[in-house]
Amino acid sequence: MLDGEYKLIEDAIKGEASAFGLLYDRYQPRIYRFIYLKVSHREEAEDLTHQVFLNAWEKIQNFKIRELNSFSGWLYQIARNKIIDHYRTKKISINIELIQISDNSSKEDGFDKNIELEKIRKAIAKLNPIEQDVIIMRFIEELSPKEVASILNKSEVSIRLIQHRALKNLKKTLV
Amino acid sequence: MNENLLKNLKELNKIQPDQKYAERSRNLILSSRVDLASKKTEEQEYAGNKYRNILTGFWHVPKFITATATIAVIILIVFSIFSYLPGNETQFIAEANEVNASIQIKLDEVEYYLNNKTIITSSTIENLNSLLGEAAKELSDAKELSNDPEKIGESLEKIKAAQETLLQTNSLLQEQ
Repeated sequence: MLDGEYKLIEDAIKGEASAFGLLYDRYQPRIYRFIYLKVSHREEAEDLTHQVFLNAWEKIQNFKIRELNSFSGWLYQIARNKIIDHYRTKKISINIELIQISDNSSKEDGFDKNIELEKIRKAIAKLNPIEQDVIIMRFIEELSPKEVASILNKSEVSIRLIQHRALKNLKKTLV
Repeated sequence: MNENLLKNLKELNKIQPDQKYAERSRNLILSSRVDLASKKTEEQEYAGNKYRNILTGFWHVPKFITATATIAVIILIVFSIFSYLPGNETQFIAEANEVNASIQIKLDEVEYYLNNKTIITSSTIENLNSLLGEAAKELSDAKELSNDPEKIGESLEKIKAAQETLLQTNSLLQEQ
């Protein structure tokens, strides 16, 4: 848990919107990324991210600080459930947009980079859901195996195994 | 390959949501809770005492369970009052029995209406909730008073007040 987060969560549980606003600012980009990389569609990712935080704000009294290692873990769990529901109820749409990342490189380099990243994004999308989760959390969000294990409710050993298998599959797709 | 892949994966961290979307979403989420909070405060104010609180919760479950549970609570209180009445107060017992029978009839009617009306508006539910809450409170007060032989008369008055409240409940349901 980050510095001061405990206090923010406590205040948010008491209903302080400003405290939840700060938690939103802190976690929204990574939850959005997580969802976007899994659903591969910008608008749907925006919609689902909105739902995750709306749900979190409405149910924040249910968040038990001692039961989860982090607030982000709780948000990831909500996000995973939303994605499952999303796939269960909606048609899967394909996004033709290229990834846009903020970068200081030249236009041409930036374009090449975007194409390369797009290939990786597509390769991630081909992994199974748990492998996607591990790759995103471990290498994009740079969470520790322990944190990932706690969020995904698995042992650290099993996270390392999934990670190994996911990287192997990613490489295979990218070759 | 491995190193390059890990480096590229790290680059995906630069994916950011649209700023305008983020702001709009943030505002919507935070304002949604304001509505929720004000609704909650109204509910809490409304459920002023513990009996009303219980009854408020009851309206969230199906009508049948609500009606049955509420009525069961009231009947339980009524019976417990009469079981505590001192033996030498025969005139009060006779009168109380009469009132009890009348309450029982009204409760049966309330149950009938609740189970047979397909649409009950939220304002009616609020009114019913309030009336049943009052009835329960009056009966509860009556029970306490009945423990003291000198206050039997007062207890009976409370029971009559409950009876009156149930009459209002009944007419409200008939109007629907």
